[in-house]
Amino acid sequence: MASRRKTAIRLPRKYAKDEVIEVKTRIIHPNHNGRMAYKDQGYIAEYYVWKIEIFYGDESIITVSASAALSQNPYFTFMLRATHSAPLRVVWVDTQGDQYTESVDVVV
Amino acid sequence: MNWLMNTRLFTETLSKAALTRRGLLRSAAAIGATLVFGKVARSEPEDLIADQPPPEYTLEERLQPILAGREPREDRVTLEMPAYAEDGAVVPLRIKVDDPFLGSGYVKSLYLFVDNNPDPLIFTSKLAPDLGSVDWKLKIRMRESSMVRAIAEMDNGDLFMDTTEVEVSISGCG
Amino acid sequence: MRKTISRRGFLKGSTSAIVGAAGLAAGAGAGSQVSHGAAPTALITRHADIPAAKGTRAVVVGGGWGGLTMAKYLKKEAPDWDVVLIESHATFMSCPVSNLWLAGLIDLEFISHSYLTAAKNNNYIYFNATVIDVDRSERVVYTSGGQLTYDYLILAPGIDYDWPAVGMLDPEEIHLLHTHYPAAFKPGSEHLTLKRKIDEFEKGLFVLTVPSGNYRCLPGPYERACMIASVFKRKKLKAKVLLLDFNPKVKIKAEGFQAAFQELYKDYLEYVPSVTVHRVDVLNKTVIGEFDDYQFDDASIYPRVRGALLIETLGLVAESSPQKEARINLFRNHLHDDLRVYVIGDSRPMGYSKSGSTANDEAKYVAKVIVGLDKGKKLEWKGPYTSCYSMVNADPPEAIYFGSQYLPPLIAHTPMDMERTVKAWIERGSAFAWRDQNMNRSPEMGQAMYAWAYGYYKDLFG
Repeated sequence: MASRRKTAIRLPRKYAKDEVIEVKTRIIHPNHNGRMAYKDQGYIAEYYVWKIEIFYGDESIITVSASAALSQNPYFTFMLRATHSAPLRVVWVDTQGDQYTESVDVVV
Repeated sequence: MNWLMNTRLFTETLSKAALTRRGLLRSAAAIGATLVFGKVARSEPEDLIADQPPPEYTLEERLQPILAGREPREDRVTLEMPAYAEDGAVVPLRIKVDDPFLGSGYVKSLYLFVDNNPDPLIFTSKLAPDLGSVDWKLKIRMRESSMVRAIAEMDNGDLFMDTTEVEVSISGCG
Repeated sequence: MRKTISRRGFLKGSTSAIVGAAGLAAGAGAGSQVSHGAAPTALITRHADIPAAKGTRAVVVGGGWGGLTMAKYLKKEAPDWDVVLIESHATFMSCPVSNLWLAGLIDLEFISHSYLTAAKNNNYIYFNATVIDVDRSERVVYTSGGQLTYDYLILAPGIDYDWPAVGMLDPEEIHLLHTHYPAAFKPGSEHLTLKRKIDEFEKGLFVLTVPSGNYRCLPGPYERACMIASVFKRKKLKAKVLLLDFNPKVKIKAEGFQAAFQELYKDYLEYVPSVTVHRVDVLNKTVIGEFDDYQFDDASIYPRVRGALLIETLGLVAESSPQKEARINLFRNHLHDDLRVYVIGDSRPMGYSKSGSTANDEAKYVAKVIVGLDKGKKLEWKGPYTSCYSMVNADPPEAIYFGSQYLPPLIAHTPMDMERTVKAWIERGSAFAWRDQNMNRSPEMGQAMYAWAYGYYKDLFG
């Protein structure tokens, strides 16, 4: 059964060294854009993931800086050349300053 | 408890220049969510409410600093989106760049714009030189029907772009 | 598709199509097509066995909540009209409230009703047949029971499932999925199959899915998850409902449902948001998601919904409709080029909830529009009301409530002041003019839900 953690990374089941593989990531986060009315009392305040940073080993390979327009539970998939065995780490940072980290090992 | 939460957020808000435009924040829990919902425990930061929505930006304001006088060529980038989206809260998209890491350098940055969104800039990004391929999938919010543009910036400063038109029909739910 | 077609052209085309089908059904070669050739022609030229029209005749296609209301209220608005309700089922089974039956709170009689009684009580004709085609130039409806003419035609055909939208393209696999794990949002055999599944479930994971887009009964899958979980809880089973939602959060009545999930069904229900279904592997009992795969012991898979196939076969699908809904005037429900043909209910293109109560209120308004236009009178537009209870607890029965009225539809190319409409929707963050809700479940609300259903059945059949 798949895990139902707040954060998740998925790699293909099988891949070879130097193969370009698809990496899927997602975080469960309300990602409020600050524009939804809250009854008649104002707006649900902005509260969203503004940065997604991917580390392969120690190297930062992708940084996405987002506005409030990613959908709730931000989903992001990208391609990566699996050149070496190393942890693949994703760090999500939201507008509250909270950081969420998830990591999987790329093994070639 | 609510007061503490507010204070913490308020401090952080002040410390983040980009976010100070937010109005005075109050906690929904403090102003009656507990009364309204009774059984629902609401103590997450998502409960905070603001007097004002964030400001809106024009496409020009957001696009010009990135183009910086350069003209993107309609080539190499492919932006795939549904022509009709029945739920603007979740619009899937895929951005591909042809041969990004061969011959003529690599993709340094990808940008996404939705012309008619209150803030047309959806994201900026930085990419390492040795990823092997650029093929991204994300889901975004769209307020209304709009032109969407994906722009790739190469390491030598060349810009490539693809655009697509998405018609958004708002479903009548909540 | 064709707009108008001559009678002769219709006969030619349809006959060959039906013969082809008959040949296939017989599993025989070309020879059988010849021997069956006379039947469809006889069917099409036959006149339906119903009393002759005594006045202006309105034909209503589809006896769901919208169609039943339409037939009754046309008769109320214009007692001298001749109203015929064509419905392919011989018994009415209500989709609203059916989740309560699945959990054993009510018996089947509560949601089953007689078309004959409805027709008798309200002085219209119930014709048990299936519509095959419509000739708008001659104003003829062709059915499995013969043809009949109309002055006004109101189509209320409901929904069909959009299998390709959940990655199901192969008819073999669609057949397997539909028979093994039906959605049960088109009442009838699907519901009976699901009820048995729930009753016989012993342990493991029972998967339900919530589709993308505007689907029939927005709170339905969430209510159903609660009701099935209540059965597992009552029986103290080692069993869990796994609710896989395309949406990033509970789409409607979120506070009330989430409270129930957490407080009543912690061990019996798990909610997973943002699950896009790519395919269902029926043989391996697995939902293949965009991100994860989910193995199940039993399931009820709710694919995306689309406007009924009849709307498409009649060539009435709106050009830019992602869910193949009808091309109609958004304020008066008639075809743009034909004021004698109307579409109501779940095949409409407006973003209203595809629900029984919405269809009921819409039908009352459109009945007034039709009779009004016939007498040269134009009616002020009125947004439909929606009124909706969901049972979240079975022991004791406790419900939550949401009621509202819709603002004008927000779709481009309407004669409305677009800017004003857009602004109204955006400012309110929704399509509603007002809301009345109660997310605090209580036994009183549970009783109110029974009364609500009883009231509607009385309106439809009494």
